[in-house]
Amino acid sequence: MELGLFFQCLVNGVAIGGIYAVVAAGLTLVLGTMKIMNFAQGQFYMLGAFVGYGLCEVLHLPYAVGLIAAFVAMALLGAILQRFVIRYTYEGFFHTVLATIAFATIVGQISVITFGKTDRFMSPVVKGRTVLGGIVMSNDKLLLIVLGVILIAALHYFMKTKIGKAVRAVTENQETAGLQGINSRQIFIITMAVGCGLAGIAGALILPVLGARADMGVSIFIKILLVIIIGGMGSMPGALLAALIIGLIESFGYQFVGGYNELVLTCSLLPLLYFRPGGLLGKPFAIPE
Amino acid sequence: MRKKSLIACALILLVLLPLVVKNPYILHLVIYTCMYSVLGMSFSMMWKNRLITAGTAGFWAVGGYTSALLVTKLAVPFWLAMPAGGVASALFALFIFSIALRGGPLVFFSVSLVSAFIVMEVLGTVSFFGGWEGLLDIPGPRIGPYLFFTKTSFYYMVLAILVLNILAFHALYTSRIGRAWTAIGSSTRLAEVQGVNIYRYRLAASVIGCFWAGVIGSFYAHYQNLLIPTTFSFLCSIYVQMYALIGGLNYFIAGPIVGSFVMVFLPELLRAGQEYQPIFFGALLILIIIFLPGGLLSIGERLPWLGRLGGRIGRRLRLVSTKS
Repeated sequence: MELGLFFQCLVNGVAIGGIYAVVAAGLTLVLGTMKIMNFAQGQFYMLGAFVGYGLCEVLHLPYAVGLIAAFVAMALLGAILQRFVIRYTYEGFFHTVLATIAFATIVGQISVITFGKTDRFMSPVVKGRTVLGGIVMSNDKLLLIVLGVILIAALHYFMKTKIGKAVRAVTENQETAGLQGINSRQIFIITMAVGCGLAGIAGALILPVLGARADMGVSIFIKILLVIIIGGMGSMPGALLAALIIGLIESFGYQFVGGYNELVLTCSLLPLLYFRPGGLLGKPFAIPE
Repeated sequence: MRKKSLIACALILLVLLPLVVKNPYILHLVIYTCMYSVLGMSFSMMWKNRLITAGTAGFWAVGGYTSALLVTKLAVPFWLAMPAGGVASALFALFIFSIALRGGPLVFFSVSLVSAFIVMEVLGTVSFFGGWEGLLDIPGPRIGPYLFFTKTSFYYMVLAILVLNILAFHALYTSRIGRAWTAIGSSTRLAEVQGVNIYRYRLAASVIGCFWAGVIGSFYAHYQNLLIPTTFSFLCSIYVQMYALIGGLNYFIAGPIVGSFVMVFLPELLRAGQEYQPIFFGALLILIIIFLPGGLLSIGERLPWLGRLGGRIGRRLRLVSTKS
């Protein structure tokens, strides 16, 4: 194999893996803290991409505005979902799951009706391409990788702030956190907002590379599920590691196996779960009763 | 005693239904209701063990494709191919879930979702299964010279499957296995202390549930005479969950039947546009989850006056026992 092709695949894999990492980090944050699975995460990603598209391509605002707006808008929508739907579904894990699925269905169908099933592409943000020792990379892809790393780092530092510490305390034990004066309802809203906002900004990040599409939310969500199963439910380092692994497998697999790529990926999950039921870096996760 | 006579009355009414209902479209909807009820009960069996499956459609598809391929390629008679579809689905479930259940309910959930996705991808991409255009020209079942062709004949067939399914599930739920499942459902830890092997009982529930999903998949294949992979998408599994939840999650047999009846006939009454249906379903589901988490059958418990009214009418009509 040529070295150039190898590095090309490497860069593509890291770019895709970076996107998966950002979305999966949001999902893992919500899963770990609130012990619920947000099935609408993929739709937040899709809506984020359309917010970015609307602001940057239709209204010709700078890309940075699109990114921040995607984050803020999806954070708001996530907070609304948490405040007005999920809070009332604490009957059980399953009810919450179905409520988010129902929300995802509504959002998905509305966006199919409004935006249609066509791809929408954006003109490149940073024009041109970088040539590094025979590898050609579009600057947008590099920008994506850099911003993805920055976002993960920002999430890491967010967890060190006072609010982040409160989130971690609630993750550890909700009742004890309550005794320390932490309002877990507020923390849940903040967690949900950050988790959904991360999905939204990831959608805006992928926009210059892959474009926006009304059904992109469902296809990425399957991948994110794989990521969090492989990484370990609720384990943040596991999710990041698994996102990179899946991104790389996808980009190299596409080069070698072609159409059977996804099949190979999902089938390799079974032996992994046999030996490590909790994923790579996680413990077997219990659904709260 | 009253309950038994009530059930007998309902059964007689169902048997006589095709004599009254001449409209084939309504009969078609009733057939769909029965089919979805079987799928919903397969879901409820796993839910009794607090396992949430999001892959019912995948096992439905496995049963349907197995049976259809056996009949078209190997000329196996339908009456053998139908149990074979169920067995294929059960074996697939045994293979997948014996691994997935080691990781607990959430892994079970995700793996069932992923496996349904794999099934759809395989059926679509591998040309042996007919590809994305689907498997066409599946012959209908026949007994000797009699070919199942009319809606009425199919209706009796699906009714027989449904009744068999209900009897089998009722027998299981009242047996020792069913009590173990109930114990697991109320508290896994307590059941474990009592000596119930949770892994095995959960595996048994998922395999039996998937067997029936496969059987009804085989019926679906020969009723529709064609199979298209996109029928068995993620959305279909979600609909099955909705049927069980809308009827009532704690009513393991009646819940899915009521839920699928409502969800099949309500859109027909509303005559909403096809593309607006998912929005309507989603909104209805959210409302039911928030305001009626026990499903439609729990409405009597939720609104006591309605329950009392129902009881009074029932006693007047001698449907419900006067004691209670």
